[in-house]
Amino acid sequence: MITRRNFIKISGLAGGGLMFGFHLNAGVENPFVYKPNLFIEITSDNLITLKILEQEMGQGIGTSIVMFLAEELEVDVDRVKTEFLPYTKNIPDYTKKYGDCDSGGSYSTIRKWESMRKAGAMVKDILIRTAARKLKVNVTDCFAKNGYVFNKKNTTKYSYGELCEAASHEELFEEVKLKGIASFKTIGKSTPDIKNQFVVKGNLKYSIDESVPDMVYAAVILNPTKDAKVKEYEADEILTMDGVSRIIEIDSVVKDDDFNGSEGGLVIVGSSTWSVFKAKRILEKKIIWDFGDFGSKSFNGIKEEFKKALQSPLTESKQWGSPDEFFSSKIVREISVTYEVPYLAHALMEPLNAIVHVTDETCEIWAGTQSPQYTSINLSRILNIPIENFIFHTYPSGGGFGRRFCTDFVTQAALISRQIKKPVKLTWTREDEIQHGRYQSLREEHYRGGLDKDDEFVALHYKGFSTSKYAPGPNFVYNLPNYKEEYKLFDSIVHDGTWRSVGQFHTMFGRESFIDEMAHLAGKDPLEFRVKYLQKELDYYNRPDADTENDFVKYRRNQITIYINVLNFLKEKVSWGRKLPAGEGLGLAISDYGFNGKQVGHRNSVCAQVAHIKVSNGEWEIKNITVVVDCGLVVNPSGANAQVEGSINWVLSPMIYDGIDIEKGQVLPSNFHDFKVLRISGAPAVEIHFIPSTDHPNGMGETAVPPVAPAILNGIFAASGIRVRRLPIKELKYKYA
Amino acid sequence: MEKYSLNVNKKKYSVEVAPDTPLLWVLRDTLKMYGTKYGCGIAQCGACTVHVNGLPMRSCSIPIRSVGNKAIVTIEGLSEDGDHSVQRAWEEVDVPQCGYCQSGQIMSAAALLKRIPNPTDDEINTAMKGNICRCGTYPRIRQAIKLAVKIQKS
Repeated sequence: MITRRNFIKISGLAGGGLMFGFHLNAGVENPFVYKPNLFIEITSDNLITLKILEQEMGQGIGTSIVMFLAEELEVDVDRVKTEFLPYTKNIPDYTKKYGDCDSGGSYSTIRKWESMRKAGAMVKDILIRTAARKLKVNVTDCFAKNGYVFNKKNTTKYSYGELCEAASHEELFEEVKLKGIASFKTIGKSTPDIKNQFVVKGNLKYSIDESVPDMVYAAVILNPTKDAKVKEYEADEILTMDGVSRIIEIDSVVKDDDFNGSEGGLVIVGSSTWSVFKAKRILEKKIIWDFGDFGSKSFNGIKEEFKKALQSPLTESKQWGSPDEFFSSKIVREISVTYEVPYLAHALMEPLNAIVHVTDETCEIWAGTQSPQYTSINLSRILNIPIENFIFHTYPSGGGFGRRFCTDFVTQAALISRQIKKPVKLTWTREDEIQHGRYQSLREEHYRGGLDKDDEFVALHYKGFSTSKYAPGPNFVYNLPNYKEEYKLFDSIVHDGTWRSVGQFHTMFGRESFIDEMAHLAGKDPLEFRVKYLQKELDYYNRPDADTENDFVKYRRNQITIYINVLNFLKEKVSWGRKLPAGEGLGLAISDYGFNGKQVGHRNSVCAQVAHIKVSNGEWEIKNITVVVDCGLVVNPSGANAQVEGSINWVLSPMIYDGIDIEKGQVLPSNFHDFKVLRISGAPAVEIHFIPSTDHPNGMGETAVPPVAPAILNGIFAASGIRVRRLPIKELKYKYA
Repeated sequence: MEKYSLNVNKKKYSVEVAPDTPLLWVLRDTLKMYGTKYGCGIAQCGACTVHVNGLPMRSCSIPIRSVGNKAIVTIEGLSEDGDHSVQRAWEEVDVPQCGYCQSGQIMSAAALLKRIPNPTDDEINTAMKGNICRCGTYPRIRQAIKLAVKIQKS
């Protein structure tokens, strides 16, 4: 029986987690540990530790947070040792003050920019005051540099370690002054990811590499459709296999949202990963399923539903001017087109996995996710265990991209552990990951646009069809006098979730393709055409009677100004309008990413891209892609560039290779042989420019994703006259596929 | 269950596992060497790449019964202190993002440079095509391989 007390003790043993960095002057026994708050520790042997609560999945947030702290604390980044802090009952106090610890929507940088620098500045302030007291001088006679507090008047100095014990008797002051951007030494300087020194040696620990005492292994055969159930199965042979101990069933957890639900199925429990994987493969063939209502649904079926909906009334979300009247009588030329994106899987390199130990009163989790906070709260309700009795040990994730916000795999491991009363390590196979995704939703965008007799773009009618509630509209930044936006949400035949750039990938594919098509219809340059209608939008928000105190007006003014700046910057960089050889062309797209400037000085990050495309002999190739970003201040140039490079390669996969096909409610592709993704030979040359800015920094994990597809497709059109409106591209073959 | 003796990173190990157990799972679950990663189980992604007698192989698809006394090298044994030219180049170019595929990438790159000390772009593409990276670190992998060539020369 595990009591509350030895639960904590076991946790302490197994929790350990991961440590980065160096231990200077190590070897002092029982050093004094000064803990100014939950996540900073300074020891008398001069070790500085930052406990990170944000979720690292390759976006480099761990490094950025250390940079924020190091900048104000006046230490080098490599002086700060880091660990991951488990999510426990103490954390709500942290999140109230420092913001949520879940990572999604590129929000961590935004959230930690002020709070982490302030934390560093507060500790620096207390160390300086402590030193001044020791030296019997004024506080203004002391300054901090490179991990020491110096006396300005002579060469006396104290290391932070020497000061920490005395500092613990001083009071922390909330009111501290932060450094000006001009005096930054760390922020804005390319800093290698703090975990990479471990990655290259193979000793960065992901949760798939973790094990805890008394742990058993599990594999799961998930229900193949959304409402399938096991009718019967033959277990005898499997139970005789080496390393297999039992087969159990777990129920689906049906919720109103795909974020917090979880699929049920049959679970094989055993003594090693391989033994349960092997048994799973055999057992899969010995199950008779009831495939449920979803067993009759297919990808083509839902596309038929989309088609029918075109003829029926939709939910109108926005309208101004008189679009109907314009389309019936005042339009001289028009086009009506459809852009289509299939369901897409994430195909994270680290298959989903979690270790969970549930007892009558407690739940302890070891997993790499984007959402320890959200997951714990959700699981607390499912298991009926108070949130105070949760400990969630966090790990870096082998890829997140939105998938690891939904933690169905953690719920499943918890349900297994509750039944068998042991810590369970559940590892999904690659096939599970491809076939039981929380997919990028299925989407169609119908655009009808019209020009008047002077070739002015005067009317737009937009209809969006989607299986996901995210990004219902296109955020049409180009100012038009007559506009109608309609939207219809469909029940999905598989589970939908968030995919890198949360809905913007498909809405920007439509918007930025369509503005290009309208420019060509009007016989205008696509870049100048965009700038013209952006300028109209800016003029609208700059009109004399605009409410200058209104947040949306402020945001729109800033945002549109940045759009125009970024386009002009890019125009110079690529010598837009230059003559290219036959069969080559430049395609442009621009988009923004963020939360309408909330918390970040009324602006989002903006990214524009020009793809230089060559089309010949039925094949397309990318000569190069030029990217211009204004994301505010760039925290870590190496990391920010990496995110842009990665975003481009991320989007190329669904442009070249098939998405998720579904028949009889079941996902057809299963592994990398039939769900193909980009390999090194297909990765293009990329040139990246960040516009210097002192604005509040934005996250860079997703910003560069939305413009990739429309820039390339507009480039294919410019090179060949072939207009592609559906992914993947079937009209031409990718030369380096 | 059968007994096998293995030569991993120049050390002898004795294990007792089912004959069809892939080398990958012996390394991970039995020997607790977690640097070699599981990615797909069907030799499509390269995350589990190790050297078998000097050649890059996908350990997820090598049953333990076929290993014999062949010399296995994993990421943990590629160098004494993580200072192989490829590892140094990887750190300097700041290649990894999530990092999960990178043991496999590094093992493939190290095997390439052993075979072809100064590979062309095409040779890099061919040798590295079996290793998937979903973070899209491919441009930096190319750059790091070229830097590793320079480090090896000096």
